[in-house]
Amino acid sequence: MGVIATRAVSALHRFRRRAVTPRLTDPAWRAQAWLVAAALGLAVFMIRVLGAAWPGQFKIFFPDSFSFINAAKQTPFSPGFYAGERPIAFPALLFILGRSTVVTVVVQTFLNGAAYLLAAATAVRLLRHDEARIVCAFLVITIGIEPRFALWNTHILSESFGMTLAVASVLSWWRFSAQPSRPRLHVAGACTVAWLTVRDSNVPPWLAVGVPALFIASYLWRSADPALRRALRRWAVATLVVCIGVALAQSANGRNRYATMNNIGLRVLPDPELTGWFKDRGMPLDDALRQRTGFSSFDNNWDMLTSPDLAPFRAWADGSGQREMLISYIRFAPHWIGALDDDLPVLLQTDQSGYDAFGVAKRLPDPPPAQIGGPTTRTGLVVWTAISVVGLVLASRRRRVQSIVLGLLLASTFVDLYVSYVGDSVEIQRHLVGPLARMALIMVLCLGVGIDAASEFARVRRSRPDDAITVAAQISVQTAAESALEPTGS
Amino acid sequence: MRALGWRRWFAAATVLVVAAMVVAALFHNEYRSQNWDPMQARVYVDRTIRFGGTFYENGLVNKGPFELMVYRVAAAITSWDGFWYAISAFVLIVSGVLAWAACATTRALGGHRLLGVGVGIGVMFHFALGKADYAGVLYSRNMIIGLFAAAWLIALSPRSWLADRATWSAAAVGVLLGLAVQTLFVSTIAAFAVGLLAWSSLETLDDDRRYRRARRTLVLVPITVFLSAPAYYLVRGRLEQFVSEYWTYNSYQNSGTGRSFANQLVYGRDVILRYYRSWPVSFVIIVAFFGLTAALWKTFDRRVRAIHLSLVVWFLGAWTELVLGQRYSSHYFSILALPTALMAAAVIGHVYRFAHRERGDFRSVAAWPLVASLLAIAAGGGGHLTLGLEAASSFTSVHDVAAQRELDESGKQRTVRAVLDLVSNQNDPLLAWTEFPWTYLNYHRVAATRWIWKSFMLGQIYLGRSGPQYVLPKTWQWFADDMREAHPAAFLEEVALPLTAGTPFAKYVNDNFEQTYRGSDNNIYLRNDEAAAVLRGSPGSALSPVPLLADSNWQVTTAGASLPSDTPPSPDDALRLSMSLCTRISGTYAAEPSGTGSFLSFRFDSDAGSAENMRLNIAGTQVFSGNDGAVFDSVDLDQQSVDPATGEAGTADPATGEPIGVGPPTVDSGATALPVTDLGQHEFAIVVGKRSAAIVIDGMIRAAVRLTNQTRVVLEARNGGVSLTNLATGPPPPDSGCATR
Repeated sequence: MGVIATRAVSALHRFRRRAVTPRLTDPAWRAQAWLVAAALGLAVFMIRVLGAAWPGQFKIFFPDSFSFINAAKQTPFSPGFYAGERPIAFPALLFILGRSTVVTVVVQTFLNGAAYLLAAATAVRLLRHDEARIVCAFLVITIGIEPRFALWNTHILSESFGMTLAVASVLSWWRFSAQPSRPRLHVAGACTVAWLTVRDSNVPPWLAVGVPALFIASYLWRSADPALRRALRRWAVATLVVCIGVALAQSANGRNRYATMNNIGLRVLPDPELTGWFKDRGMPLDDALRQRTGFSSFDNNWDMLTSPDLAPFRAWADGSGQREMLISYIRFAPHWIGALDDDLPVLLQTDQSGYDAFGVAKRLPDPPPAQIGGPTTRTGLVVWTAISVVGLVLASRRRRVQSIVLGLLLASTFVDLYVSYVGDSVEIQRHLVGPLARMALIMVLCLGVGIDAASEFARVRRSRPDDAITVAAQISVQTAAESALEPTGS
Repeated sequence: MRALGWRRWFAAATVLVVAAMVVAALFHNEYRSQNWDPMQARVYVDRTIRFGGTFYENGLVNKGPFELMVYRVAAAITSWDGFWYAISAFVLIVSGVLAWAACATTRALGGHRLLGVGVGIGVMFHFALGKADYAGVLYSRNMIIGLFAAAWLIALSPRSWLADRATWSAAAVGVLLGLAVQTLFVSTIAAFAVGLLAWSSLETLDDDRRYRRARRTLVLVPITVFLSAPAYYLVRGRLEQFVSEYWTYNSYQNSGTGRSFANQLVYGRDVILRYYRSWPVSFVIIVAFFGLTAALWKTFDRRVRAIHLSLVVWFLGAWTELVLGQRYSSHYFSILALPTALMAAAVIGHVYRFAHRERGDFRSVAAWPLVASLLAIAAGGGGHLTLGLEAASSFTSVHDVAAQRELDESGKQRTVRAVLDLVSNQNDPLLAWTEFPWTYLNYHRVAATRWIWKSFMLGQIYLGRSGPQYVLPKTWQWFADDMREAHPAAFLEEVALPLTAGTPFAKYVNDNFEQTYRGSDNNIYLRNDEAAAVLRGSPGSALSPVPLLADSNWQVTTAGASLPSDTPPSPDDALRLSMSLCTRISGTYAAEPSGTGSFLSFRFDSDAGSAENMRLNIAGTQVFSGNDGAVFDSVDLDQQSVDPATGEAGTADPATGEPIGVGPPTVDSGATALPVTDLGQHEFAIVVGKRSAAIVIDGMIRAAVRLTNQTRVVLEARNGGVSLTNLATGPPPPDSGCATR
């Protein structure tokens, strides 16, 4: 028995030496192993999200779903497609996938899962310390599998694809900020253009933050390669043109008329000050409209959209009313922010169960405890914002570009949140899904770079003074080298 | 990302698809593997666990012990509810081994590694999720092909036959082949074919001493393994049982078809022709393989010839096995499917070799496994894959799946289970006159006798003749032994398969059991002492029920209570009969119907409201079990019925005796729409055990319901009134789970 045991142990050692160790020390093998693990994870995610209704039970029932299908029917070869009732990105995906509900659901689930896996992989690649990598990757995956976000994969709506493109856009800008180069800038620009064209509400945050930031960087980032700065300027112009295009398409098809009417009925008419302002700006206020106080355009069998006595109001809402509504978002920003603040607890806390027609929440893990997957209360939002800011401040010394870019992205999420809230007064919780998912991701990335920077400081401080000087010198050299490499412009 | 290369993305995509297949197979085959023979094997294993002894003393096992050993392992590593998950995992393991064997065959004949992987994926899908009846199950033949495939893998691998490993490899091949032949003796030719390849591999050994030793091992080990079973039972003193079932019963099966040898061959020829008309792809593979073998034989080296020769012998052996077995059940064709799959793998390997020789490397090879996966799904049908994905997606725990299945049980099954639970515990013996293996498993019981099916006792040969000449010697002696050992509390008879009179089995039932329940599907007989306790148990002391409301309409007296017929129905104005389970409440009742009939409901609930309400209801002449929302099962009282509107006797169907126009309700709405009611006085008893309760009316169980965490018994008049007299409370039946032993 003893001989057999010895032989077995020896065989085990031999196996480890010959088969296990060489593989574990081989970076290519490790990369392959991670890829396989990611594929397995993605398979499990897709099975859990899609399996119970797979394949024939993904019925569409939201009016918006039919509207997306109708938009896709126009095909990208028709000019009407670009000025249709829906932004073009999701109808384009539907068109590519033959407008098949099942195929679209599978593909968008795959893309959504793959996007979050890519986010985790990017975090592992860009962060330098294991503790930051592990925390960041874990939290990113946690966000990806949260039922309130994942359930949208089962619907023919733009939420899932919008979240996927938001992840892609955020990641590509983070990658650019970690090692700025023209190819990375082009990828980030392309992803952003795709993201801008998936939902109308994505335009204002980019107009408010992204475009100015690109212009400013192109002029003030003096250490950057001139070619890179020119490319930044070009992308600022390109994305500005896209934003203008989206806005023109909106006004051409009047797809904001519903949002305008809803806001008037539900938010403006109940408020005398707002009502007076809109009346002064041309809103035809009469008894017929006043009777619709507290109603949306979908209530009472689309009464607002069909009732003859509201014809003047509809004409106004189809035309200048939409512009006046946009102006009101700035003019009455304090009022709207107050309203958002009042509604925030409900909006953050929602699990979107009303939309979970296929029972996704039952098949995915419960939301993580202590809001580690992003804020779900007003206090949580404050805490997460504070954590993000601290993370960015910590990172600002040695990862300045990353810190600035992530800071701008973080700022844009608040604009996104505001615009999505004020943009329409019905289905607000649904409209906030994308902004909240994007916000959670960016906050986690801010936390990740913060931990990464803090780990670096801690290591320097833990070292003996002599070593500390050496390490600090090494880091300085490394940082200087990275700074020199940053604007390669290749 | 660029560093990973596009080939790795194909690999990742393949992993994703194959992972979906594996997960789907694991969860779907848990259900699919609950097939006839696997259930039979489980019944035998459960009985062995309950009573001990050898497999051959716990069932009629006409195969080697390996199959039951596998099922015994599954039982050992899982719970009762998780058993089939283990079997499903074994199915996956077997499918994986078959896939590996196909992959190795393709590579051995010149195919690219990734081409082999693609072939393997196709084979795995076919055996784990394919449409064929042999896919996704673990019959003995599935195990045998798994054993053959494992032996084939060893025989194919050149590394196995290096000088210092050859003897061990020969021993491993020998064990695998020996177990296969021991399981089914007719698989000897196929085993010989696989052994042939191993023998050929031995030729590479230069050391003559080692060569001879390995050769000796390859011959002697299978023989030793084959003989180990009879030797073991000889040592244990159970050789008679082993020989009787393994040899004698197989000879009955062989002669029981009544076919001459020539007739068997002719019948086999017809089946072969029909088979290849139905499976043209298989025919194309066979033709291609034989054509390739004949055309290229001279160009093959010794090893390739050995592979081809082995496959030819294996294929012929598989058909020989089927023809001599004389039974062509769809599950048996797995033994043919494997050599056919390996032939396909061989042809693909050769084709790749030729193509590669002509045009060099294929850049697209990285995509082949993914393409193979998708082709397998497209060609093999995605039905089982879809079901598997559904099952995997909604899976939360083994316990939850079992609980859901219990909720989905049919009402008649619930009734039988509830009655059995009143006199026995789960895993206790159940005597049944049945032809199905699930009779025992559905009720969570073990078979009281090793002859789990009546066919064994009547000499009914599967797909063959019947007659006493096919009843094994000592059948009735061993039956008597089993009865002494099991002492079953209940006998279950299927209405469609009534007990055959004149057999020792019938005599045993007549002498020891009393019929207590008559249902539309099953009749239940309880052992005399249990029947007496349930039907005529000691009445005990007088019971004075307590109204739940202070201003109740119930008028309570000592050992009696009544409710006027015009009382408005109220679930709150009920009568508490017992503050606990484990009791037997008896008395007489006479319904006092209102204008729309009468409806009494014995409600099992908890005073805290934490338990689901279970009910035993009497509505007119119908007695039914259910809960607040559904009716599980119902029977009619054998009583004269009266139409409350006219006061005249209702019309009864002369054939069934049931009142015409009265059908069992399917949803318990609480309202009574029954046109016929019952005005007679009936003796009744509510027999409440720890696990279930039954209502006895006029000397028979009429309905029963299982209980969970209910704590009390309440009588609710949901329509009309009632007069209760002679109420008494006595002890529950002794084996109802109430006694602490």
